[in-house]
Amino acid sequence: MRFSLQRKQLCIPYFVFLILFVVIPILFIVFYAFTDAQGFFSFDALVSFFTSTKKINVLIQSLLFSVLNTLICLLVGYPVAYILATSKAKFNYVVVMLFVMPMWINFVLRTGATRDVLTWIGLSGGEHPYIATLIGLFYNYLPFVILPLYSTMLKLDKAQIEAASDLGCNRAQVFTKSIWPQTIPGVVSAAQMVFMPTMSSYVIPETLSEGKIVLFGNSIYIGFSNNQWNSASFMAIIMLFLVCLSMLVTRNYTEKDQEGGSSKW
Amino acid sequence: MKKKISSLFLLPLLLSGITACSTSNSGGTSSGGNILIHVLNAEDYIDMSLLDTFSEMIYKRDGKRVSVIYDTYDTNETMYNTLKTGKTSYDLICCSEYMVQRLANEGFLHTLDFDKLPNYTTYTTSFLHSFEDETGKLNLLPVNNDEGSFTLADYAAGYMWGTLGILYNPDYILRNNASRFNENPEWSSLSYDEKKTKIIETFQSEDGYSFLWDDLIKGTQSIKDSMRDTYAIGNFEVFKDYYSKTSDSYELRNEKFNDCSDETIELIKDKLIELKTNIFGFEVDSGKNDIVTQKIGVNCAWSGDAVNSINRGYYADDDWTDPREDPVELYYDIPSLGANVWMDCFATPKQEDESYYTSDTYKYTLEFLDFLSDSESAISNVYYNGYTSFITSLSSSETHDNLMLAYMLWSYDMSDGDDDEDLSSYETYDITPFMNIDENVDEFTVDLSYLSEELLEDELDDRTFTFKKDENGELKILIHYDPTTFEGRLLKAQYPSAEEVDRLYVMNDYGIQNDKIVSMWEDVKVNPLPLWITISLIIFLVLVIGYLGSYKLIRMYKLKRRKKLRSENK
Repeated sequence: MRFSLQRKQLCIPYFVFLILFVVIPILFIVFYAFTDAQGFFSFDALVSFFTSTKKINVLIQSLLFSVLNTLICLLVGYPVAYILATSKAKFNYVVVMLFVMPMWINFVLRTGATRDVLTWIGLSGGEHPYIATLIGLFYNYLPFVILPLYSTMLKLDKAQIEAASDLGCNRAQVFTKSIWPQTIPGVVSAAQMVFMPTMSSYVIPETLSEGKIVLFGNSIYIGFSNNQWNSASFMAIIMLFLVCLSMLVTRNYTEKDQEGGSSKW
Repeated sequence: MKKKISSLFLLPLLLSGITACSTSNSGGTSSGGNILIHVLNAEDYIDMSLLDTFSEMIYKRDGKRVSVIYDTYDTNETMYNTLKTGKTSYDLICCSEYMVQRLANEGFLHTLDFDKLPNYTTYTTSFLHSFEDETGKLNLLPVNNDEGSFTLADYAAGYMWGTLGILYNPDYILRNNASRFNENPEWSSLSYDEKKTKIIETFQSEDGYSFLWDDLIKGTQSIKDSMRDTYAIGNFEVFKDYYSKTSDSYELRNEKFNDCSDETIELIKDKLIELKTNIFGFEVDSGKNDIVTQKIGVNCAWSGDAVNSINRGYYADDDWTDPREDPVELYYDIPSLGANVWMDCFATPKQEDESYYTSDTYKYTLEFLDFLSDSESAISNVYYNGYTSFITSLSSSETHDNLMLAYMLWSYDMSDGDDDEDLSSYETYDITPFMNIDENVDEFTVDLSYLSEELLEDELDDRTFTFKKDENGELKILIHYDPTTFEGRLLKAQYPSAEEVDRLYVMNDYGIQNDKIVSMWEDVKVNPLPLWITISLIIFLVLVIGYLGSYKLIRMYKLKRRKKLRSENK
């Protein structure tokens, strides 16, 4: 038999990888989430999660951190991306690289360095756990905001912006009526890149708050490291559910992006 | 169709490949005449060159190739998960006493055959006597499984032990919290040196643990981000009056230390939540560095880490040869209430196949364990990791029998060994409980020259020490030291004094109370949120999701209106 490599067979390695490292682990999580310690089917983990005020509390606290971090990252990242994308200076690319380069260094190492810097400027996690954690999260996720915004803004329709100002919009109106609507897809994908990873972040709050702040990721870790696989797995399911939810909610935007391009009036 | 089959066919092949690998691991079967021993131990815990030494020794003696496959884990809980999920693929594991107890309770371990461990039975420390009954078993750590009632000693051979005490830097505390000390009427009138002495005395006294709660040192101390260790500290604080006043027997006090009734858990929870507001932070790994780099001034530390930190505070380099110009002076103390003692032990996981116990793998596994229990190996390991070995000395003049004592004298004793030396300027430190003293021996000599020639490659140290029975007929091993010096501080970290031994308590596995204590631990770690934040967050999220969800509707409405407007304009 002649051996021939067909194109579809090229994806076998990926397929195998996907099964082994994505599908099977998720099945395990689901299995542990709905069984008890003896391996029998039970809703114990579900009941204990929704009746435990501290677990709900951790969830809300993580949501709060995610929302705050997303807002701060957007507030800072949006103007930066806009300036980088629209100004004609030649060093733009260098500045973008400066923002991106830290991402090439492992974030655990960077977080260790952040901890030292924060101590040095007098914002150590021992005294200001909330501020230190927020700074760490902001520093870590800012590039994830700038990049999608930057690439969206490179594609801004200059003609539309000019038309808006020609037709009598003041600068604020140009922003609200033309620039902002055009960049919404970028904002949404930037928010997506920050929101869920912040919720599940583990190393940053652990290191920068000196262990004083417990976010959802830390809470799952406490469960797994103290032999409570079932409840920790259920919390992982909650996390998966939130990921799906955030994708569902923002789905309309990406669709609109494709349609919107053609139906511009 | 054919393509689908081929891709699906590949998967089971791959999977079976993986399981094949793991089954070939189990029991460490020999491959190609090479006997493999799988060992699982904590990170940075052994002098790795010993593994090769062992292989060479066996090859020279028996002509068989034995390789030790050495894996590591970071925490006991990770190790437990590894064992639970990976089936029994290790021949020898090393973990803390409570974890051995838990594994043995679950029927995971095979009892050790101590007849095949001559070195271990000869040289292991007798200090554990306070945890033993007449039969010499560690009766405070009972094990009950399908095969009957046992104690920890049936399953475990000790490797290293140590205490959980307080490592602190008085200079840092005084510098960092200067204003707090100056405002306090009790402390403000004292001179700097007096304050320093008072801090040291406080940590040594029965108020040692309470001092962690004290406003004076607020923000300088970090505690362990590990449930068991911090629970122990909470227990000492909650039952402070009991421990300081009681005349109960050791067994009863140890029972108190292991109290995990619901009421006690509540009391400890409240104490720990209170402590959380006073500390710098929680840590498990960073504390031993942070106290040297002076980010913190007080650290609840394990004795081995304390030895490491004290060394690094004193020396500028990693080889510990070049002293710093401005050393960081660290002290390690156990408050007089007592402390948690931990023991890391070797144990052999149970193998389903009965023939395993007659195999070469099993034989050489025990031989490896016994090799580690040899004096020379033990010294290599102690030199490497700074912990305190279970392997110790006999009261004998034979060089091989008293090597560990020779090592301790070489490390810590300040005298020069001469008979006519004036020793009045030194204090003595009694380490008798940690030696294997034979009552019939009246006198023995320890010669350091062999040690420095063979093991340490140090300049020849030819001191000799003679230990004799005193007027009460007791043979005491006393080390001459100065507690304020670097060596003195190290000695106190590595060995508790003889008086402290009676106050070292062993913590059992929590068993069925484990879940409640984890829940307590979460309560301690999680910060409560004010209600208004929660409500405003929920409102915010509802608004965002509502807006995003109805975006299309709004957009359609806008387009409609625009069309309508346009047609009206026309």
